[in-house]
Amino acid sequence: MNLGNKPYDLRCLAPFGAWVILCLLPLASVRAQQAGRETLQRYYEEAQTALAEKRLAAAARAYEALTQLDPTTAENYAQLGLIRYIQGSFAEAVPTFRKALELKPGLPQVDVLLAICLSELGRYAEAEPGLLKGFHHPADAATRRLIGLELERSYSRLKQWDKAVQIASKLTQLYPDDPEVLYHVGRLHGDIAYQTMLRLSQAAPDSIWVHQAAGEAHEAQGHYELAIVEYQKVVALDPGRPGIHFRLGRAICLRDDPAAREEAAREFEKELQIDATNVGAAYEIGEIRRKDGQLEKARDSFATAVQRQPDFEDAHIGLARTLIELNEPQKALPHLEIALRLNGQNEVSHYQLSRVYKALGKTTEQQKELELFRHLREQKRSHEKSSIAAPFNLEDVTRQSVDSEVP
Amino acid sequence: MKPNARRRHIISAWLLISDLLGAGGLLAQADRSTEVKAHYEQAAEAMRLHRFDDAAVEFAAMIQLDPGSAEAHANLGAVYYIQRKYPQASAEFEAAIELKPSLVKAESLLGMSEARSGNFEKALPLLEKTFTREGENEFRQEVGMLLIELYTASLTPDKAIRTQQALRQAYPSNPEVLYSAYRIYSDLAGKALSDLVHAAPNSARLHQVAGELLDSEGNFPRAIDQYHEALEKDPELTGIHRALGVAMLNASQDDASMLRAQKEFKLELAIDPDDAHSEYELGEIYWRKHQPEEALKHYSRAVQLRRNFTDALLALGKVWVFQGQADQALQVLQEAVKIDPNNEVAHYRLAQAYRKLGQAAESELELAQFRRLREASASLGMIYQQVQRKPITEQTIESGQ
Repeated sequence: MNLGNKPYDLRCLAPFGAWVILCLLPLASVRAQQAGRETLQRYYEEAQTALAEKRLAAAARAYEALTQLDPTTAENYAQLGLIRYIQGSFAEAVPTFRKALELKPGLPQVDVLLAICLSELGRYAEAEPGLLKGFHHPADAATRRLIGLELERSYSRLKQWDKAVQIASKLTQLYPDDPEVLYHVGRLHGDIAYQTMLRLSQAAPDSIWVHQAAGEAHEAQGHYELAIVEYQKVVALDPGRPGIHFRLGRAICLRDDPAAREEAAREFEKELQIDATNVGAAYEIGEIRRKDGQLEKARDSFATAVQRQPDFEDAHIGLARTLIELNEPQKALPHLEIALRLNGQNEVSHYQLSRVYKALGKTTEQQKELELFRHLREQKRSHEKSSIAAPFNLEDVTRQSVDSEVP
Repeated sequence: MKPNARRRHIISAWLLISDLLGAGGLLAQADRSTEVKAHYEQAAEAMRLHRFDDAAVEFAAMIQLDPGSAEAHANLGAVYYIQRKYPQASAEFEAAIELKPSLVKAESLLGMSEARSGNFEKALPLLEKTFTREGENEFRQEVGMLLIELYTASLTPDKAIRTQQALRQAYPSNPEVLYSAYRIYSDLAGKALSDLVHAAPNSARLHQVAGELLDSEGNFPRAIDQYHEALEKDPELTGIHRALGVAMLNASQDDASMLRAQKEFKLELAIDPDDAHSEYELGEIYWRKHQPEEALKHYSRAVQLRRNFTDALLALGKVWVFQGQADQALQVLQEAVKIDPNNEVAHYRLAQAYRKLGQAAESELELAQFRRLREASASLGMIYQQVQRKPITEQTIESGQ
């Protein structure tokens, strides 16, 4: 269900509104010459003054009078519709725009404005053609964004999820850092995920898929005990299922209970028996062995992981820090260099690199890396302070951190 | 055993045994042909019994006797694939294709094997070719799943989504396909929100998201704090007063809370006079205050503003049933079921309306439908809260009592 908020702010409409008004004025003046010129002129002036002073109600009254005095001028209706639209009176704007289009079907952008009003009134099917037209042939970028958000919401409400997703994807491409766009896109995808889950639970209520999804949802929310129960149900139904022992092991690890590490390691071992290509399981075993001080075993597991997946950043870091502990800094160096090529902003890599340089007696390089580490860490901390915690996310593997080592 | 029946019994990767008899005919010597046939029969039996190591030995023996048999290579590749020995499988599939380029199944399996080995660049064109191939295509689902993984890994979510949509069309009720859709959209939702955290870490929208997440966890006091923060950042942001009101009602339903919530819904309507949800919420407050006539006005206005507003239609039905106007209720409840056939409350209320009208059979049917839907949704329970936010007070069967 997406009963979300209006996907735009009326303040965004200023360019759109101004554009229509500018287009309409000269035409209106021509009409004015044909009927009661002085009276009409007075209302026009009143309307313009009111608009300039942002007195929308007064401007609307003036245009209402104009539509009565001169009922054949489409532009008067269009202008009145626009004012009602800006006022948020969509129900009143709809017949006004319709009248304008009836009198002059080609009046620019009026069909798009009408579509937005219809969408605001929940008449999504009626709104679709106009919104589509506006989205593909927008007056400007701000208008396109606005119409795109309306269109995404319309498709969502019509449960035409595929089309909604297409629009969302386009919006994300066009406005990648726009909070409004990101908010609505996130919401749309969340709603579809839920709808899909509902359908899955109806189609196959006791399937491994329902239990796996439930486990993942619990895990993402930090409810690891509940996640373990669900994953165990999957194991009971299909013990040889690739990936499930890995997830179970991860959930056990995430409980942050050192006593449970062995139990987790057993799950990762089982995973590797089922699927020897699961680099995540190899990595996690490495991490458990490293933390337990079984450095040779850790080294072997990390080495397997990086051999099978050469761009596995955390595995390179894990291997490097294990090699450092084994007094093999020279061997650790290339792994940290790879990790930094993959991600130059990882504070952990810089910290480990500083340890390598220290062990190799390269004091200048060590200082430089420590500086970089401190800078990145400070940056990260200030970002964390100023922002709200990130939403729920399912982590792939245990991330490398420096917390236990930095004095 | 016919190939189709065999596929049902073994694994979809199993492919070409029947063709081997034809390949045997190519052998120069009759005795070798007999030997090949014997190995083939052993291999088939081993496959039937899922003794894949034995099957591999038999196929390897066939290849030794007849290295030019593309089918034997392909079948050995299939066995390795089943055993998750992907590099070996790929080597056999490649040999098969080189010998006989028309072996499309071997080509499909090669793509799958490469993908599972992590050789994405090599896998991608093969998988794309298989996925779009017309006609019988037993690997399409599995290939589609792999493509989604590859597209996701290569940060091309649009392609992943398109593939997922094609899979949904082809297999609308397949649990694995549904699960994969759930995962994709769940991850995309997480990514969009994570991007929002980075793009605008202190924006009104982010406080709104935080409020919604807390709301869905049932942490209403903290949700209220977040909504207040959002309003501080942007007092004109539409939807926040309404969300605040709903959170207040969820936190407590005493008179003071209802009064505060009522104020918020009115503030929302001041910003957006056509906000059907706020009208509906005002209706809910009057309903709780035992003022059905006032509630009816707001519910009606909500439906007037938004024709397809299921919960408002259900609320109207609720009031009319209460007022003894079951025939009028029936109309709106039927409309609600038409809009949202999976809404359990709609079926429950419709059953009530039918019962009041003396239509026992129809009432029973609706009750049965309600029970089926309730059973399914019960298993979801609180689990998926993080993706399911509730921007309004939803109608429940209890609220109709």
